[in-house]
Amino acid sequence: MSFMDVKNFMIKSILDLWKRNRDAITGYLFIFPALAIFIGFIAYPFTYELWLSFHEKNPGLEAKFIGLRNFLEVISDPTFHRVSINSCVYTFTAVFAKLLIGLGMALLLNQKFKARGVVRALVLIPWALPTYVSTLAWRWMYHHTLGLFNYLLLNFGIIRHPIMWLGDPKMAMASVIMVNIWRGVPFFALILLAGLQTIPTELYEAADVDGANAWQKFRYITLPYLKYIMLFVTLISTLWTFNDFEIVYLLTKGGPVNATHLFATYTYEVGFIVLKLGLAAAIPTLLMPFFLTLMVKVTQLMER
Amino acid sequence: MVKITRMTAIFIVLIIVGATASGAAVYYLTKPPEPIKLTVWAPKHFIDAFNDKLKLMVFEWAALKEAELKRPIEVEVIFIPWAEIIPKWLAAIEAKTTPDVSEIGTGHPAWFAKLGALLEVTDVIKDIGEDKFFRSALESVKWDGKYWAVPYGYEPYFAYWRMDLLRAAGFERPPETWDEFVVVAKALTKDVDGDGTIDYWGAGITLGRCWDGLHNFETIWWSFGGGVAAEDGKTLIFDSPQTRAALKFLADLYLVHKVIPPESVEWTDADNNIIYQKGAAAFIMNPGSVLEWLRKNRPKDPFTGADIFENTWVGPPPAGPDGRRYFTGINSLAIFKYTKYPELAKDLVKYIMKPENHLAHLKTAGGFRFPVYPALAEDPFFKTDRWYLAVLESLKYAYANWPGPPTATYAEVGAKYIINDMILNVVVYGWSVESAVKEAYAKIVEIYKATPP
Repeated sequence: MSFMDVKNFMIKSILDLWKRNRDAITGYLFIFPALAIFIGFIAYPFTYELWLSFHEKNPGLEAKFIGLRNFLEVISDPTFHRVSINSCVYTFTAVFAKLLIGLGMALLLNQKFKARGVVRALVLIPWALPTYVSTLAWRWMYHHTLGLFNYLLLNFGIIRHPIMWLGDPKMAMASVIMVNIWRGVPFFALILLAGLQTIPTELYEAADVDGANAWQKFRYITLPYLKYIMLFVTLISTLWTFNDFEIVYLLTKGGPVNATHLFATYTYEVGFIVLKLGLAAAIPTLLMPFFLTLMVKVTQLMER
Repeated sequence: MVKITRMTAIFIVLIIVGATASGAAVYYLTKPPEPIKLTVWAPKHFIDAFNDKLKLMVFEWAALKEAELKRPIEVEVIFIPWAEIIPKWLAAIEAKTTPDVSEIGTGHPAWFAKLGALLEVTDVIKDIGEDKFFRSALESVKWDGKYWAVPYGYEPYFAYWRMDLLRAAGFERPPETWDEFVVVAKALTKDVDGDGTIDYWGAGITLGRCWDGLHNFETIWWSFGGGVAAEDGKTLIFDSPQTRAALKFLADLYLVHKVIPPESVEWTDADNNIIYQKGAAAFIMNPGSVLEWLRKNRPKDPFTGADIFENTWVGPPPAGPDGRRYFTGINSLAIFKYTKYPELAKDLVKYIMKPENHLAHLKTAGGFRFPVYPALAEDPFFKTDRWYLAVLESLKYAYANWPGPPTATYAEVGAKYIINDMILNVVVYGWSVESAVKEAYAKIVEIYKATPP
């Protein structure tokens, strides 16, 4: 076989392969960028984090395999128990409040009134602003001495002594929840409003003819139609709120003395302040089954 | 159609490849050299002029070096707040993406040297001259018999007192002891306008989870005879009656005597500055950033109109049962070992620490930084200003750590807010002093066991 024969054979083989698998190859080429990003920014860090959770690792020093010791340390750590309670209180309170307020807002925004479009746009502002910008503004408002809230409350005689919004453990938790609610309500309102707009108006007209009152229309028409959307937005918000970092970190850094620590801020503290990278990696690994279940539920709802 | 033979095709390909290769060769032989890139990190101090002067010196050095080496040099100076810089250093050490040069804090030379992150700079110290530095400054950058950073400046946390408020309350001078302090602070804490809110606080002491919170406590703690480790830096003495007494004293100031603002538990490093600058605190302990702010801005007391700067006394804080001691930071310039240009980095550090440059830099800091060269401490700049002179004279009571040297392990204890949390457990959560000390001690033992000094 001559050189030319080999060359022709190779060219023919490549062309045949291309002709047979053109669609598949094109498909892979199109998803390659997304795949590269997925591998680089999600798969690799996730795998490294999983590996790290089984090792003892301090910055600058070599990692040492220690099996399940990190997980046992996390489970038996009283601070982790505190953080778990904080995260549940923070998430469920904030999500419930966002759902209620968001629903109310959506119902209002679904009515016809002048400048409705402008109001709808303004309502989005808390959600559209970068979190660190709005949270720093809230931090100023919460400031004990120079903050807006204490200034107004003292000047109007509503309180006699400044409130320690971020310095008292119970107030600190309420304060961070408030900011989360303020930020998250527009998301609920927007999604629920979209859901409201898919409800056929004839149903409400028929209900009017039958003499149904507002509550009955809400209970028998609006709620059933919104059921799955409400569930979807609640689950997604639960996922996000459980993983909240910026608001708590910027306002209290998890203080005072762990009173507002959530999983994300506590993981950061264990990793970058206490400098136990392996232990820090064990925390999200331990929580993975819970979040995976939530994610599966959300995906199922999306398919519905 | 032109028929191209095999030979013609090969010839054309060779021409194309040859032309490309020649072009590439000409490009690489004649292109200008890649610029040298050096990055400098520094904590963002509260005095802008001090930060700006460092940046200027680095750019000046780069311009001089460029002319000397006939090669472009690009420098970048990045300022990072103290609250964020330690995690950033450690993340950079872990990822091997450290800057070339960085200003680092007390205890950090030994800490980072133990992590294998720093370049030894004994040769730089010898070039400058060991005898040119204060002994304590050199001790603070030494580990394992070698120097790992070049001392850069003292940052003492001296006391500030409002003399006008003291005199109005019948006191002619600041209190000499912490016992006297309680009497004075109580007398100075008052609601001036009768609206139910305190307008002047006798003790603007930081209790929050920040560096000021740690260093304010250290001043009280050390003067009570307490500390983490003995003079050898290794033997733990933390769990002691002295530590308990100091913690109880501080907690009582907050909970019993109520001379510390309640919001102090949520303060960051800036908040005690703010409260003094706006005239609401009669006493704080802080580096000279407040002094320079007052000098520049000349704020007035909101009730009496008094010039706060003119009425500020500075000097050593009160003495405790075991003597008078207070914290001073000793910052230094370190070179990270991953630098591509170690000799240039050393040259930059030497340039910054040239006595004339160092003095010019310190002058922008005012009372914030004090020289590590004894010769510069004699400069008229520090001797003719009554505030700077007062601080200089008080330096004999200043320690980077007590009773032992500033070790890497103690720096780690500080970075993990163990002492801060001990205080907060008592004043926020109502823990007993005993429980708080025991819990902190357990964490300290763990650190000293894992990374002994």
